[in-house]
Amino acid sequence: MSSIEQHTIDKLFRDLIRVYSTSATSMIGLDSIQTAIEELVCKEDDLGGAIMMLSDIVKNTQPRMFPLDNLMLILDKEIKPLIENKQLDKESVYTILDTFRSRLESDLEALVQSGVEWIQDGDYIVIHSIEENIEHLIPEAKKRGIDFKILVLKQDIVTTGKILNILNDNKIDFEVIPEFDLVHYFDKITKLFIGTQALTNDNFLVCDPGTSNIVSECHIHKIPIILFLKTLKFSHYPAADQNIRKHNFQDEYEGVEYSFSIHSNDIIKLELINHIITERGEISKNDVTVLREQVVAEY
Amino acid sequence: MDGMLISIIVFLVVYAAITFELVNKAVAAFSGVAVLILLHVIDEHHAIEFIDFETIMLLFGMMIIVGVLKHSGLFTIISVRISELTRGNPVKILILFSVVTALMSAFLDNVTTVLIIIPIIIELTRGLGLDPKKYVLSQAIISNIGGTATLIGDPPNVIIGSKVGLTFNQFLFNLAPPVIIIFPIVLAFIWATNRNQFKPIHTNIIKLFTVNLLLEKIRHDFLSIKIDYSLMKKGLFFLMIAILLFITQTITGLAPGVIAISAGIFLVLVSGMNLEQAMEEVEWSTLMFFVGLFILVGALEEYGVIEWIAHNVFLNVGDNPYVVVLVVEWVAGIASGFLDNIPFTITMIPIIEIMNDANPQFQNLLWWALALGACLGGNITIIGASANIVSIGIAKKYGVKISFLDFMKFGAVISLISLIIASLYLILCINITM
Repeated sequence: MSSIEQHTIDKLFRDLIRVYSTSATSMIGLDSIQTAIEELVCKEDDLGGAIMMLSDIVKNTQPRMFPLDNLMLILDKEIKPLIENKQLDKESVYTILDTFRSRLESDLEALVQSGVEWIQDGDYIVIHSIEENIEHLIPEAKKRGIDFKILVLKQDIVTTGKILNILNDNKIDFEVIPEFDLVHYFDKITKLFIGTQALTNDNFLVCDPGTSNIVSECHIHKIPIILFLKTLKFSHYPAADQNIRKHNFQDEYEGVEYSFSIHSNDIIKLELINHIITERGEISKNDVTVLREQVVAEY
Repeated sequence: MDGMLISIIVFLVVYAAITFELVNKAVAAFSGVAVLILLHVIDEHHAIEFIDFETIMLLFGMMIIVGVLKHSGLFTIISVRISELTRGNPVKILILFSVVTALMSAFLDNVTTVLIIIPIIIELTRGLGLDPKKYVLSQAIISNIGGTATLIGDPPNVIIGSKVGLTFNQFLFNLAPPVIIIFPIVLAFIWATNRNQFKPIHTNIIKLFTVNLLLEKIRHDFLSIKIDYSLMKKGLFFLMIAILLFITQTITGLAPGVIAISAGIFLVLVSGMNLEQAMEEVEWSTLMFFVGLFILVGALEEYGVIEWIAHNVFLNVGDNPYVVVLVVEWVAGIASGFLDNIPFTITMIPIIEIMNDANPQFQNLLWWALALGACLGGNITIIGASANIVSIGIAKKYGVKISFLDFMKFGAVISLISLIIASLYLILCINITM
């Protein structure tokens, strides 16, 4: 594996996460792994090594891709005995990947069911980036006939464009404003919905760029902040080890050259969140540690 | 200063401006026309008579059809599906994209073809860690080779066909055979000289995984445009009708220009497309460029410059048919490599007409020699053909820099191979027909 290959995959994941939720991106990742294994021509003895190599590359992306990262840890754990007993074949890997897919789907369904309760008539909800709550939960609430409105905080045009398509396709009432304009809406908005890419083991959320400012503002103005989180996004790494990428390049404005930097993700303290909704229902912040231990034990 | 000298100077200045891209091509050609009229070298009524409206109508009609099809999303769908079919295999990328580029260039327009193909091939190859340069170059070159096969494929053929009155079938039957031979040989050459770029990936799980992520990204990025299937069906229907009428031209007696413009305008009518929107798809500057060049060359003809070149350059090579035909092909080939092949072809048409009058036994061979030379020679340098300039421009926009020398190192050898094969074909034709 070369660093060019790792960078290429990192970049592809970053591009996909801009327009798909982490669940959808993880599903694309699983499908890509299966197709790669199907197309791979190698000796049976080399299959295990190839899959471990692929798993390593997926686990080392910048930033780390959850839930896929955790699923790779489970994959490693499940195929190791098969390799040792020379029982690993392509079919056995497909079976494992199928269970991952089923789990992603059922977790998502459960998250939507428990999350939809958090949208009520008259709500004016702030959203910012593409996550499960936008792809599935908000359309589900609309289907149930709940009367609410969405305030979209404009991000880059690709991400915001995708959000607008989803809202428009589902005939959901919405308004778009720049992120810095939020201050004029605190007397109208009722909730902030956010998703996350991971919850680190030192209780930080890894979110899309810009989310930290929005959360801080809402926290100051006492707007309830509701986090939708699948437990497969519990990371066993600390925030400092989430491979958040700092992109740095030279830019120029009217002859003035300067160094421009941007990070791939924001880091937000979990304590700023008011409600944590998982596929198992709402959990308190005190439950997080126990739940994490249960989940991480799987890997 | 007499009219002849002014028309020569104006023509050479315009030619230089076009070749070195000093100003917009259409502006250069029309500025030249304006100078000739202002200096009373020609008058405006006379200038209009030099314009070959048949060519303009053919280009105009095809631009509408191609524009509507492009607007419908057809080309994007084709490109994405081809990307999926390659499964990231570098050899398949080269072959499948080249087949599509050649076919699209032969029956549509090679500039539109590269406009669609180049961005997607860059995304695909770069995403696979390959150097996109060779792929960009190969598609530009293949578009010119594919375009050689038909009357509507490449501007030199459009001009020759319209001005001389050769039919679609005559082009197809006489130029498609050498193109069919040249195409696989050129692909084999590209593969053989860049084997490290075409290594298979089926043993590399990381690359196979990358391809699948990449295809998902390509699907999202390129298919997020609105696909209008109804417009696509209508566009394809009228394209088929136009091609059918081109093929049956000898039966219907309809000129290609009439067919193309009728198909284009009926397509706008049936599709319910806004006329202004349809007109936006027409490359007006290209049409203006052609109009200006027809007038500039018309002035040269008027003052006997063309006749002088024909007698003192081309008719001086003797009457050996092999020599005459090959001189036309190679002069056209080399000149088209370093000059824009559109003005070159427009200039050569009256010269070939004089040569044909002097040697009627050549029948249409000199036209085929001119078409093969002008189209295939256009691959020698970036400035040889519009598709090259457009391809390199798009590549630059996507961060792939291809220099004049990079292109020439690749294109000149391929042009040489293509022109040699075309020469052998022309020799065979001389042996059969004369």
